[in-house]
Amino acid sequence: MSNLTLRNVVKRYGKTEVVRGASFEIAEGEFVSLLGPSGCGKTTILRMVAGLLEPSGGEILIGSREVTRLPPDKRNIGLVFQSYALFPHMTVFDNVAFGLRRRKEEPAEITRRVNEALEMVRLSGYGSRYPRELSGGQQQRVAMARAIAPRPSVLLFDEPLSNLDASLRDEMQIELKRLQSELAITTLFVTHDQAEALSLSDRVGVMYNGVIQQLDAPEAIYHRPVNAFVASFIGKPNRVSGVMRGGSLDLGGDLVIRAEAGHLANGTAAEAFIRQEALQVQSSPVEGALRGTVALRSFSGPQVQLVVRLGTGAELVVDVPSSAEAAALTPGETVWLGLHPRDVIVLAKEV
Amino acid sequence: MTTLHPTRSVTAIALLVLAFLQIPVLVVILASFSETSYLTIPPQGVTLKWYEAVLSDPTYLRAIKNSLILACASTAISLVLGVAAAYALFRRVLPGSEAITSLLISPLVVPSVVVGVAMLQYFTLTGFRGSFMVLIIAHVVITVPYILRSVLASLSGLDLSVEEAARCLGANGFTTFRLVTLPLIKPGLVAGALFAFVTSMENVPVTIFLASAKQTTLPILIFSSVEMGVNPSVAAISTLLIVATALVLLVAERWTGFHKFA
Repeated sequence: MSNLTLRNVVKRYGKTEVVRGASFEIAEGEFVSLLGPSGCGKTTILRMVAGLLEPSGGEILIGSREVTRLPPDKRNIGLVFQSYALFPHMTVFDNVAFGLRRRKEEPAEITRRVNEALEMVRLSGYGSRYPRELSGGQQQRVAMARAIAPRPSVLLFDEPLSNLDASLRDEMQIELKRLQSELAITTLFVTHDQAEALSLSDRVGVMYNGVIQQLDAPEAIYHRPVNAFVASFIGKPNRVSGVMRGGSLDLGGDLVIRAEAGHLANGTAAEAFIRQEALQVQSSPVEGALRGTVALRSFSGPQVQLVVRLGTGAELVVDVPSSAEAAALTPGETVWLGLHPRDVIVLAKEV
Repeated sequence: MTTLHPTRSVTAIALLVLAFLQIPVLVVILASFSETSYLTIPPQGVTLKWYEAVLSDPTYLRAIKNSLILACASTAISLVLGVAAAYALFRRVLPGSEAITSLLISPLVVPSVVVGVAMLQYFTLTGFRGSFMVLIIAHVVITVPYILRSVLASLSGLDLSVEEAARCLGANGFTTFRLVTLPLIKPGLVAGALFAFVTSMENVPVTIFLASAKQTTLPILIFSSVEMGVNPSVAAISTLLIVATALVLLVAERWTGFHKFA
């Protein structure tokens, strides 16, 4: 086990830069996710760490060992693929034993460690089965057992849960988290699913356009995004623009969103990002609340979603628990939206 | 159930077509047991003397030996070249993979006689004509397409991440090929090798231009014996070929279930 360091890693295809200078460090035993839309370069970084792609520049270190140009088999890594990539012609036992055999372990030791790994993923007794005889979830657990059995220095996951259906995915998420914390292996996890990234990781790196926009604890990513991309990518926040006035955002038309953004000078063009759950809907006037009209209402079981149109024409989406009083509001009614200045994320408009 | 009737008639037609195609084979087998010195159906009496005649005739024995050596050597060389080519074409190591594939497969499309004449001219010009190696090279050219095609077919079903998984688990490139890729393309490989072997064993149009009298292969010998007057020894040797082919196919199918890739 060791830490993973990337220093200014670049990947270019012709003139297109797919990864533009990625630098970060994953501490020993830490779980870091790279999160971003498809094509953002997250998988490219993972494949460069694995040695399946050669970086165009920069260096990659596992522990203190420089591995930038080493082939995958010289890196001591474990990789779990989206497609599982089990060896279809081998039994579960032989799949899991593959890495151990390459390391020339004693047969008794191989048997012991394969069984140990299968036990960890709760597949004891499945050793003699073939991959095709297993369900998708079981196959992915075999893939995990295969990756951890040789005790890699770094564990890599390439969207491992996206081929599974929703209920199985939640179950596997818990399984994965438990496994990783038990083993305390340095882990790099690539996904486009933000819930997955936020719930599993010690830190999340949000990627866009080949650049890691922000690498931070999940809470910080969610509550203190550094730029508009991160703010709008995580969750589906309301986004309104206006001009700064005394640390608050003036939307015009007498509408002011109170915020704590004193660092932005008066007159700065800025945007406010407001989480749907941060807005409180009231049917009577409240001091400092935004007045608007319900434009749409949709019921989804536990929640009712209201679209509220403000006087400026801007629309805000609000989630209300379906048991709350506000859930009974119908389109056309006038409402007041209250929110705590602390819950408003204000960022200067990017040019 | 009304649906049974069309099914029955389809079955009947299928059986008829099959019978039509297989009757010549049956005729040859039956004729080989006839006591007469000419081919006749039904056979007059039952004898194995034609088999004895063939298997004790040094001309036939040499032709069988030539054919087997030629088929084994060209299949082995084609396997190595074909698998390597298929793998490189599949991984797109070179630009223009489609064009290269078509070029390598072209001996299947070009009439064999044309290939034969072309080779004759080429090897005469280069002065290599008459060497057994020339025959092997010619047979490699006409058998490589079969291996290339069937190996490409089984590669197309291969998930590349399986190879990457092996690399990440500590296997080098060669070990990965040996332990992962090769077993997964085995059915296609066996199917291709069988086709290659059979193609080499039965080839006349290319061989006839290149083989010297000493290098005569079995199909050429059969061909010329028929020209000189047919007696049941030709039927006997043909029957032996049929039985050998059937056995090989049976064993290969049992071993790999290769029919999916043929």
